[in-house]
Amino acid sequence: MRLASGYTQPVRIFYQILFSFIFFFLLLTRGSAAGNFPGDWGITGEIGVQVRSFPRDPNFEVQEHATISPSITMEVELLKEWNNGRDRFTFIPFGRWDAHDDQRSRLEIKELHWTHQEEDWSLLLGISKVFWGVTESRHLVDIINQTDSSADIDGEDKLGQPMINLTLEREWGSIDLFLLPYFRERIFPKQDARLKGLFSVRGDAAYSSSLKEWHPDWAMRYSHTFGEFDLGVSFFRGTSREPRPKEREANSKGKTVRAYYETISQFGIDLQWTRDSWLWKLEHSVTYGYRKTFWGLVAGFEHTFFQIFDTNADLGLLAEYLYDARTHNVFEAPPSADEHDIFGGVRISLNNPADSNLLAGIIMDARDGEVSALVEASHRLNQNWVFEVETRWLFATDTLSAFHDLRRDSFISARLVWYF
Amino acid sequence: MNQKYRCALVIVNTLAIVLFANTPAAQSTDDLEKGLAIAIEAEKRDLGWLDSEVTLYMVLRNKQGKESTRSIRQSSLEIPEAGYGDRSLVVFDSPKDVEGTALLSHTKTLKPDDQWLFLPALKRVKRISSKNKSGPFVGSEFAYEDLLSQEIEKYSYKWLRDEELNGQRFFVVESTPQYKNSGYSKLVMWLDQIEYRVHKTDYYDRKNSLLKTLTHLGYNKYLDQYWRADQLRMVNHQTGKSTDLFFNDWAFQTGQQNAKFTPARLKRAR
Repeated sequence: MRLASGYTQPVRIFYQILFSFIFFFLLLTRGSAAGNFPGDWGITGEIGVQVRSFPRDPNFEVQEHATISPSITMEVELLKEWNNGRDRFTFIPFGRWDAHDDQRSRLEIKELHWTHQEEDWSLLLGISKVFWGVTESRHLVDIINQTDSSADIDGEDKLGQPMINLTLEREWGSIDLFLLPYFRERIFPKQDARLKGLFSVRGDAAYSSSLKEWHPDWAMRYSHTFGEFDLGVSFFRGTSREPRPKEREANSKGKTVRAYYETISQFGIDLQWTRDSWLWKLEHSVTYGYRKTFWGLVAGFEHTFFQIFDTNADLGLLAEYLYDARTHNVFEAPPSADEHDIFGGVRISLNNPADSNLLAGIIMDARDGEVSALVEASHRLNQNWVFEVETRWLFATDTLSAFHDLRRDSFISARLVWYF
Repeated sequence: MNQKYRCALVIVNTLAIVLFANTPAAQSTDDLEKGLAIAIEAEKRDLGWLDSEVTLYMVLRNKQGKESTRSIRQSSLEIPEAGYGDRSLVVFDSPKDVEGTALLSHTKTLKPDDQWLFLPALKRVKRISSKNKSGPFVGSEFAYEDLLSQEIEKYSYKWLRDEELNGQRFFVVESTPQYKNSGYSKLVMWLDQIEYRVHKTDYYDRKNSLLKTLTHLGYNKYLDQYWRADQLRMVNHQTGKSTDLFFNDWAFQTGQQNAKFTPARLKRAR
């Protein structure tokens, strides 16, 4: 099992020791105190069992042929507040054990930080997660945290980012300043995993900066509400979270590439206009530092019909247009699959005590014949148990398409989660 | 205006006169004034609490009696300006799968409210549509509009009658929502004549049939002025479902600041 992938060896060993301590400690305390953690510590968590099924044989011979792929996840949240809630310590370790992919099997610190809140400013010190943006099909301006590509291909799974975050709250808006002293490499599926292309990513990442993962990245964001408009303007300077594949190699174990991380500057805007039952959304980014300057755009809407057919259910319709000036040309910039795509989706919420909801969506690139369809549903079984189903179907006709290697990796997943 | 419409109008007017002839117009205006005066008096007695904090325990019961529960913390900030309602921050402690989810509402009297949702797993603050006033709050029998700030300007009022129940005298007042997207045609409230507290409310749906009844149980006085019920019981007559809402640990005038009720602060809500 890999421990805390994406960190260098000494950091990883430190994590190993820390994690062993903590899981052991938590298990002991849970057992004896039965929820009443001593000294006002709040402790909660979840244990999930997931089964993924790949109905079709893999595209490449080296890939795992099993059609059923089980995994277990565990997440614990430890919280302590003092000084009348002004100071707070948060710790969220996470572990996943996958039967077939030991890159998915790992321990991770999602959060480990101290926050201090004053009347008009706050400070966060440690490992945390930050989200920027408004759109649903792609998170274009969201750049602080690295993506865990081994967990899922939707890019929603993030790795904890070490940071110092100062927030200033003023009448005219809120300013967030970030210092990001350490960079985490993206986690890719291993050689024989499903949902991966022909090339596997080797462990020896390269950087354009001589400081490598210790390059001090920084970022800032201004956000404010102007009546019906919510605006965010952001700037990031540092190591690109997306690598460019470099130095292709082929040996007996298969074809591999090296991940190359460049130092970039990214300017981003996110804007939402909320009017009646319409949400109009826009995200725009401009990135400097690759071979050329590139820009991207996601724009669309979400319209909700509340209490349809005299029931409590809501029906939401979503549509977004995605543009990215980057292409499949890996000599210019990290490749992007969202060159000129259309996203359409439906969201149904029953608003019942079980909080049953379903999201179905499809992203299409007419020119490349890339289609990715997704259905996600969840239902609360009782106070502590939630059942989730997810299925994603991938189609591609163009052999140059990013999806072409994944066209046989459509899957269905069922997940049962116990919350405590 | 063409001849056809003029004819129709005359008929409608005649009908109206015939139908409502035995309701003296003068008394009707008095009833409206009296209803409004009661509502103003009730609000006047509840001014100046500045801010409050309370924990809520919600028990949802379906027709078969199957229960599910929610634990919620609510902070509120009183906004005295005309046109604006109070600000409220609601944080969920259970069910555990939504723990840490927070809802921030900036209510307004007649314009649409501003609402933001914080989803802790994604660390995402999302502005949401506030049009859904009549929708159920977390699957309960309470609609959003039942729980959000009740400002005078949101309704028109009419005194219906005085009633005596169990030795207590009540005003029975009808109120009609003046804001958009309400699920109700009217509310009928019972207020006691000594403290002007609401003891019972009947909610009528858009088709004007009785939908729900809300009962306030166990009133306590805080800071020697502000009456709060320990329990609210909402019974839906059309579905047989009910929701009990228990309030614990009320705190007032704790010195909460406006800054706590901003979307920027929502990411630190817990």
